[in-house]
Amino acid sequence: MNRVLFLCLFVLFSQFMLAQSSEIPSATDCYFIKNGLVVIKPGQNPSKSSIVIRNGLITEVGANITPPYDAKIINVDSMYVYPGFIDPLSHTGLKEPEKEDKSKEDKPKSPGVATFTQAGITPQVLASQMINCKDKSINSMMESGFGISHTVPKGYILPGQGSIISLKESNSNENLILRKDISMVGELKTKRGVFPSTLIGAMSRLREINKNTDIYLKNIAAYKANPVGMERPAHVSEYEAFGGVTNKSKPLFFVADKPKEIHRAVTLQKDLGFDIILSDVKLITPLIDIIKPNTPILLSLKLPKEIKDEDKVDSKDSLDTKKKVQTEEYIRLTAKKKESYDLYLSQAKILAEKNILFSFSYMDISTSDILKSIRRLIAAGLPENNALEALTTSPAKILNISAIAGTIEKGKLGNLVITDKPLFDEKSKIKYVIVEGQVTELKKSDSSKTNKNDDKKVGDLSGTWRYEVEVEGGTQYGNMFFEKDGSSYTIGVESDETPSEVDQGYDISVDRSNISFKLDIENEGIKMTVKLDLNFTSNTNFEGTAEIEGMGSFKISGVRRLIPD
Amino acid sequence: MKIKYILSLAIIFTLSIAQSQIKTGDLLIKNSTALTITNGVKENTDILIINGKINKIGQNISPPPGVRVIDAKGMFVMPGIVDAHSHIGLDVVNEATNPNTADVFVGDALDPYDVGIYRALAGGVTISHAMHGSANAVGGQCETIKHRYGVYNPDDLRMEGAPRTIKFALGENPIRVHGEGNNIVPNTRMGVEQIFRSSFREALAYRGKWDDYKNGKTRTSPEYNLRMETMLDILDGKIIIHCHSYRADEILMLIDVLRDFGVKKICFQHVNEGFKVAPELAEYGAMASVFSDWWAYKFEVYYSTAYNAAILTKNGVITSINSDSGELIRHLYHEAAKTQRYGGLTDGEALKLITINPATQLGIENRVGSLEVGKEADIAIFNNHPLSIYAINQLTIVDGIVRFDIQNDNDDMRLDVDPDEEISELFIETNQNNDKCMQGVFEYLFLGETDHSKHQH
Repeated sequence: MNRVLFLCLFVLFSQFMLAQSSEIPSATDCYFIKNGLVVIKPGQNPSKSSIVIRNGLITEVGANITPPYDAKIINVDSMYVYPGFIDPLSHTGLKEPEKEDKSKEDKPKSPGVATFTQAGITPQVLASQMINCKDKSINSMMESGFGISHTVPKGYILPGQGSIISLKESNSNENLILRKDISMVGELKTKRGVFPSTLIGAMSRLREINKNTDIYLKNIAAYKANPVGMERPAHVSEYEAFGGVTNKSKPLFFVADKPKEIHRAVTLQKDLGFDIILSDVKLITPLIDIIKPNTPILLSLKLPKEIKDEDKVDSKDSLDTKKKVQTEEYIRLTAKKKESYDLYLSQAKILAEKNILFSFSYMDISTSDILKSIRRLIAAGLPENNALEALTTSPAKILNISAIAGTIEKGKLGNLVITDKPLFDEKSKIKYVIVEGQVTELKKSDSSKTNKNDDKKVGDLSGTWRYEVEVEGGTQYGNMFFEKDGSSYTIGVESDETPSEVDQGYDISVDRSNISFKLDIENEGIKMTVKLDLNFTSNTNFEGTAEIEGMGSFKISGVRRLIPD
Repeated sequence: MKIKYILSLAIIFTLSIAQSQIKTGDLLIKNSTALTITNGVKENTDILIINGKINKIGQNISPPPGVRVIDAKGMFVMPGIVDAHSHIGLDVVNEATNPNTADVFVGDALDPYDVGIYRALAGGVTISHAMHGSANAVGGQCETIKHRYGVYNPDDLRMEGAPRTIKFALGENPIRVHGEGNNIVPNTRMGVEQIFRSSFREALAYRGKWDDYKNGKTRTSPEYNLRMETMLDILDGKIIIHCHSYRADEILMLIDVLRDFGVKKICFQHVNEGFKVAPELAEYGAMASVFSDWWAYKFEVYYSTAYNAAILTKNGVITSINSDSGELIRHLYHEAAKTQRYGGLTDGEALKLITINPATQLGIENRVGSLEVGKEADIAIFNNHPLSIYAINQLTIVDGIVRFDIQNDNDDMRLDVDPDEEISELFIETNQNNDKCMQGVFEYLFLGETDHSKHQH
């Protein structure tokens, strides 16, 4: 009896599982994207066309095609249609690792004798086993126009292997995977306190791992060929995993942001002979000549803070001589900084000119900055065609998926981005994103804001707030007084160091949960202007920055004093 | 005027970017007083440099077409100063996690953008020994660098073909880091000795395993161990040991260890009590690289004397004076001059302490360290005799290329400018001047705390 019940339950349960794991149901599997200005592939002009997508694939593209009888028609008249974007390197869709419990962490007896795991070297870790189909990052990348991500684990030295995933809505982690365990990711970031704890340790460890992987595979092969009288080789999953790199079946995406780091990656490539893809690159131009031909480059979209021309200071006549000297130095330093800034911004342009295969990486950028950053690169000279290549065909080539993605052609995945204006136009907005035939319409309000959390109302902030600001040499405390004044506030600031001296804030601007204002203060006889930018995470807390011109930006945070004075 | 200045900076910037191959140059230095080091002082002498090498030393040499002529009338020309102990041009100095890290190599962490290199050039120093720190008994391998400031490729900083060197360390530093820090061997000076002995023995056993495999005795290939490979290279005489040391007893201890294992190439660093064991050092052929007069920064460094360099020299030990500091490196010629006040060395003996002798300690004495035909054109030109207190370096040449010129010494020589840097009108703070021998170790030991003001030799 019990057994029968159990069986019944089991059957029910598995039925339930099946229902859960199937794809999100939709009314039709066929869409007709009607009369868009379609850019089939980078380099082609937009031309009025329609597209049929059936069962997730593009089945027809053309100017004079008729909609199939069962198709849902999406009218995109006067809108621009591009191939869905491809992200060649990010952590999209991976479960955030649970916070490490330091006391339970596996620690070596002494720092110098750490095992692979203790040192954080985990080439056997698979992103494909860490995917969470409900992770928010999948949706936010999709809403930024991406249909495909190459996602890799986070970690140290050799964090693990990457998989290519589809950024569609699904109830199954497995169903998102387009290509499983296709790559290895590497970087010279080390775990503190154990060997190797520095980049020199990491370099020597990588040299050793490379050599020992070969030895390991040779031992396994020798044993397989003739085990008689031979000690059975112990299984080492790290070498097993790294074998994919040494036999060149898995490219190594090596994170290296600046010239010295790039040089180290290239040194390893030269010494060890495997293929690398230079990843998350911020500055490469000074060493562009040492890069092996055919090495793809993924540029970080985390660009330097924008320098605008009006930021230039003009020396005022009223300044005394001493101050003038300082100002001249300031101008000189600013000019040198601008030169460096231009060098960073011209990266993409130079790679395009040199015909080097490049794309972008999205490891540590917020999705709202992606198109903004690309537009800045275009303003700095990157041709739009090359920018579109870097979003579509180039990453497809790097990931070896050109056959199924990167252009709008029959037989490829039904991945499209549809915008109201040409993609790189400042005011362009994404209206639809289609991933494997799954259509998402981005409502106007949705596309203008990047993070829904930003928009939450924090209500009336009037009252006394206790703040702390981390400046060089310690933390300073004080009070801020907010008083509602129409839609804005009046703000007074009183530092604990000079109690009862209240400085008045000015240039106050309120934007949703964000308040910024300026403050003139005097410190040891020197007058300074502080620019405060406060983000209210709730109606009892804020965090933000206090920027003092010429001195730097400091973290500030505050809590509301609940009991009125 | 201002625009012109900025423009010229921009030109320097772009020129350096374009450079990727090691450049050499041609020059003719006229009418100088040449301090040749190995062949006395030559008055009114011309030095012709072709393709980065000294081509001719003599009088009335006429310049080949297109070759820049430097008039050095009344000036003193000496070979570029060589610093046998420094940590400039490095991003990482210490991998402090194990008592033996022979496998690591600071040449993997070169920083050609370190302004410290330019400052060293201003002091006439053309070559420095970029060393691993002293946190471990057997530290990492070091790199001999040429001060080609202006190059972007870290490889262009290496002195190609210079022998391999490695850092060893005795006494308090390895004991504090490993014994006191992690409660492992070495916790005493006896423990430090055992690290050397066990490391060498382990390396020999490792070689035995490979021999068995290569001879077909075993069919399973042993694992490759870079640390043991390096220890074997030391045993085979392929690597020169540079050992951080202070006390006489531990210096003799290391000589005993090396004698037992048949290792000959050893240069002691700091070696403040070297004067007590100078004959023993000379007998073993051990060399010594010392400070002129720097001590009392920790317990094991009190028994010291400014006569150290002179006593070692007079006992036949090949001795050099080093900086171990981004500040001292700018006036090593003053440091050498102190041996004339304390020990009465001759001009020739004193200058050897910062030229041919450190070159010998690095195994590059056939290429640099003196003004000789065929040697590399690394040269410093002073307005006065370099051992004079009035000496100011005017021009520093590396491979025939002028890398420092006091007439064209811009305020801001940075090669790597952070586009996100905050520019202060009030003060500019730099961390370039700190001593780095124990760099990174305190962060490692105490996670996050650093005190850059302390000397940690």
